[in-house]
Amino acid sequence: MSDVQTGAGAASAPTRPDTRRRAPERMPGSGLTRSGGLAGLAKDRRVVLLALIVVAFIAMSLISPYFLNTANLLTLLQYSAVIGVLALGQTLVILGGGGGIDLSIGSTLSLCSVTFGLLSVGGGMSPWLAALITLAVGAVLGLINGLFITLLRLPPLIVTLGTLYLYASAAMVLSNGVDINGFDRDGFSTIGQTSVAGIPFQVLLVLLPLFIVGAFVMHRTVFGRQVYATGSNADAAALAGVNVRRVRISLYMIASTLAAVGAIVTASWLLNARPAAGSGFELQAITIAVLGGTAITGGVGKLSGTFLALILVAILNSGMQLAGIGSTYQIGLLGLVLIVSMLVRSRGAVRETAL
Amino acid sequence: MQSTPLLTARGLTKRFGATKALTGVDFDIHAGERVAIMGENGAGKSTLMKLIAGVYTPDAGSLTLGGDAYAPATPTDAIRAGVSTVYQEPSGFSHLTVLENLFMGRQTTRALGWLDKKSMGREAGELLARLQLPTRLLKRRMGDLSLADQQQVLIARAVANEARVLILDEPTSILTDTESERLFQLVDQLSAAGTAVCYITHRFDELERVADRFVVLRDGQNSGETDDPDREGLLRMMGSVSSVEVGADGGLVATPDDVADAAAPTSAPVLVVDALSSEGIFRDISFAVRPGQITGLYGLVGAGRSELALAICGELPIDAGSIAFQGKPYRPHSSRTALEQGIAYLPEDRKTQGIFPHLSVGDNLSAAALRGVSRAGFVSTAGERDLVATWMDRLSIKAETPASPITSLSGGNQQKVLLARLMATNPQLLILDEPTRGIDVGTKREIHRRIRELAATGIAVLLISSEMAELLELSDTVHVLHEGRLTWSAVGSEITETAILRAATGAAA
Amino acid sequence: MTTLTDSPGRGAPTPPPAPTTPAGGAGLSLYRVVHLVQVWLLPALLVVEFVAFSLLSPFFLTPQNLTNVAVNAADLALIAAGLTLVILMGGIDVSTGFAVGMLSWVVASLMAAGQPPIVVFLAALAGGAVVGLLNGMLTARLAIPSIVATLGTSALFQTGLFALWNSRDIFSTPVFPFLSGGARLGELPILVLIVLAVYLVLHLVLTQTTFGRSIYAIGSNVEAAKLSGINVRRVRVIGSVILGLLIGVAACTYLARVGVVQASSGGELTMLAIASVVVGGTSILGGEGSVLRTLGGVVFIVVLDNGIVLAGVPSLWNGLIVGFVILVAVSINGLAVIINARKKRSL
Repeated sequence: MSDVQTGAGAASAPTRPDTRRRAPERMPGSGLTRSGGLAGLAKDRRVVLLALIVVAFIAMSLISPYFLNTANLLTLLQYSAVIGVLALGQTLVILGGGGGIDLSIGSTLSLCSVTFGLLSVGGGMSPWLAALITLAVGAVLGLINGLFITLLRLPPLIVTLGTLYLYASAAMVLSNGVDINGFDRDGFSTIGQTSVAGIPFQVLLVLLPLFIVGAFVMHRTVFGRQVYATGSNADAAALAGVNVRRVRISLYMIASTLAAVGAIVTASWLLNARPAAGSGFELQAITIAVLGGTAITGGVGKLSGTFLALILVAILNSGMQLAGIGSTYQIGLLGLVLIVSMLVRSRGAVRETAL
Repeated sequence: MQSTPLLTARGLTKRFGATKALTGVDFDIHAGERVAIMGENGAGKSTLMKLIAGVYTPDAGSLTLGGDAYAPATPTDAIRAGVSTVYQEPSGFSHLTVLENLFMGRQTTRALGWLDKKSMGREAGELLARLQLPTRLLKRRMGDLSLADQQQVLIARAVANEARVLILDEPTSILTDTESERLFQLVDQLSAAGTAVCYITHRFDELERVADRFVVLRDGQNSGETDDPDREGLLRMMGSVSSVEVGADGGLVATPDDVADAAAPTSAPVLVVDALSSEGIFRDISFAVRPGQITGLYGLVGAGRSELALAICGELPIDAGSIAFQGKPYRPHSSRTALEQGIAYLPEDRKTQGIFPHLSVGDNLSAAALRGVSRAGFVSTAGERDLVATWMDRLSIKAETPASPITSLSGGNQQKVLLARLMATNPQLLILDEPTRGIDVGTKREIHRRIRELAATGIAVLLISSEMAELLELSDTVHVLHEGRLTWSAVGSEITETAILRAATGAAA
Repeated sequence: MTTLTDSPGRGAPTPPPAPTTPAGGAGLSLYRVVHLVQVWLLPALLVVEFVAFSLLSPFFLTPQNLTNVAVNAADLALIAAGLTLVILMGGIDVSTGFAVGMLSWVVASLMAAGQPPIVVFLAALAGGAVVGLLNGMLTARLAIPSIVATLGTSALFQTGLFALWNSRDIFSTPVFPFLSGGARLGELPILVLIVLAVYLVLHLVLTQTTFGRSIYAIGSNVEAAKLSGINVRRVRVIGSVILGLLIGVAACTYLARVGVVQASSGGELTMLAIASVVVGGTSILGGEGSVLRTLGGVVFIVVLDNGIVLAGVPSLWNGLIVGFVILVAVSINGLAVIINARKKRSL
């Protein structure tokens, strides 16, 4: 009999400080399982993350006087917009089970970046049209992953490793290794430069909606339930009427399309498209997903958890930045965080056989 | 044969949660003796063997081996002590050669762990020759061998491990007659050399050939033992206690039942299977399942029952014959499309094929019926809540709340959830494969009642079961499979335990 | 559609006689073809490669070029050899590249501080052993899936390197002359001989010792391995440590080749090493493969890189081809598995 995985517990506390950041999930039949009382609270990964966020927030503001500066907080949010959508996609892919993982999203972002750049600068297209086509390209890149993995039953690790190479160098080839500049500032101003009530466009109208819609889909739609079922027990899911193949392919397509979104957002914000724009992002995305409580074997995990993990990582990153610690250190911190979060899981939960 | 047993077990008791698998079971076996362990499904045979093999530890009772106390904490302890098991499904190292499989973990070496392949090859050659197995097997990749050959290799490995006691779990269920004979010869050799052989078997036609003594378990307890392979006597000892009656011949008979009486043989069958064949698995199967009736399908392990069900659902290829569902020709593609069309299948192994272990009771229950409570892909919370509540009530599923994890439920309640999951899709045909396996008696009875109620609402039920009492209690019609063919059918009062077992074991009716 | 595992035990009361491996099989069944392709794919790729590049460039097949390629491939080859052990057991390691980078910083610093070469070399080995121990403990002892554990340690090593680098490139001469292409036996660089010797030793260990066979056993069926009395945990850790030691040596050769340690040294090696193993034909699922195959994979990849440059193809295309080849190689293996399973089912 398997134990209840930590990270899948629902807080039984009826009140939580309400911010716009979380999609409330307390409906029965929404994939929640309950453990009672205070112990249950502690077991819920999201509660732990929330506590850590508060601690980190306080710590960072004590460490640096600039932390609480609005401009800083906004930059923090802007940065997280991109990695956030990637982490969202990664969470979905991992949830679907079967060793699901996507090492290629970073390269997908690079390739879509270049595509977007070529279309809008080189092709002179309107940014919205270029964006649309880029999204389609993203979807196709994910479809390729999905087909190899489901039709040929290949390990996702290796397939996405191969496409990581493929897409990264396709980006290089298409862009000839150089950044694409010359984005028309006016055209992209909406996506990249504006804010509404002080909150950057890409956070308000991209990151938050995507997470909220994502959480909603995962808990309230048939598709979302099917994802959890597939990740929990693919054989049983098939017998329960789920088209496992179609579900998994969809997840890879969604992840890649989200990477395309990330590419569009980055390009609009920075006003250039770099062929190595996404390099290294897969580690961050996986770390945030796992930190947020997603089990690497699938079936367990919440988008809200991923979101909280994202916030925590962003705070830590920002704090480090302000303290003068370079971005590479943030990578190391992420690695440490990843390992520690796995250790904590290994304690109480089901022993997953090491891959 | 010596008078002191090589292996003794006294008062073995083992419980799994609320289920009592074994209570106070005694068992002896002498060196060189061949003992067959028999009993109905759930009688405790496999639990007894697993206790001896070190897979489980007993809650009470003790074991001795060769006069000394024997208490293996792990299967490896048992193997080292000289108790080896060969399971139904051979599990060796499929990527490695037979030679390596024979020696893994105890290779002959020179210095620094350097393998002495020549001497191992020689030793293995001698071993195989002694066991009259072809030495050319040694170089072959284990995974390329037939299952029968793999089994022989694993038995050879047990011998190489100096097994004093060899446990064979339903070994002939995967073998042809010729291969079975080869196995028996191997076993003869082993017992002649002093190895004690424990045999779990269902197959009556092999009894005389296979064993010197027959130990029968019933409902987790000793039910007797004998040297006499008389089938009727053994059947009597195997018969389980239940609400069914005992017939004139000492075997169980079906209880007269309201539902059975009210059965309307005149209503058109929901499923008609005609000359269905799947190569190597079953051949020329024809039967019909009618609405409102429970059609029982019985057969020994390996007879092809689950395979038949899987074929009807589209999970196994069909090579010949046809199926008609609700009067129209039906080509099964997959269990998913089968479910869409109204055929629901409850798999045999709920742990690996049934439950979603990470999800709640409610999620598990509603999993297949979400489309019914959703619109445009969005699940209606209220609709789902009602669905779950209705079915939890209807099947008396005991859970703290629908949001509790499925793993917090007993096996019996989990099974009810799975049943509810299928029922919520409003199927026309319900195929139940061993629906009460591993479930405590009380919940078993409850589930039986529910199944009868379901049938009464007009659903056609195909019940696959190897539990005699269950089959007798529920079935209006019984078909018996023997080695892939449908050998016998009966209706109503013709259904008796003795007759079924006879047909299932291949004896003339 | 997911396959419902059909327990083979219940399948065949009267099955037709099981087909033996088509060693002497008549005719060319699909199974046979796929099996053949699996075995001969790598050699075929190598042949095609050599032929193509020698046609495309006159400089390709020259001894100078080939020895150059061989010497430059040393660090990749060493890493890939150790990685094969880990993959054979069903694991993976994505931290090898930055581990090399970090260790090469240590080596370069010690050299700059004037330490005797033998001390430096031993320090590199010790550092590598620590790296291997760390990864081994995380995966075997603490049961963290190796992909996650090594993603974590990769990040740690990357940061470690960056921190140590501290904006200061360190230049260094080779620890020992034999670690660069310098020292030669006639025309043949000693380094190449050393690498080949390493492969030979590993091959012998894997095929001729209990330890080696237990690696295959673990990859093939870890439960049966435990039942056979194999200390799975210990073997896994030792495998990681061996990889670590090779990473230590690779750090020295890497430094000898590149001459300088920078902020992100070594990063490119990780995926190349995995690609070498996969293209070589060792199954990522464990249980089958060999270091010799990995050597073939290494040769393929480094020759590809070299040939592309010589043939005047923009080096940017390199990744495309490597990625493509990885997918093809894995797909063929995948197809073989599916077809195999279908064959078994009809038993």
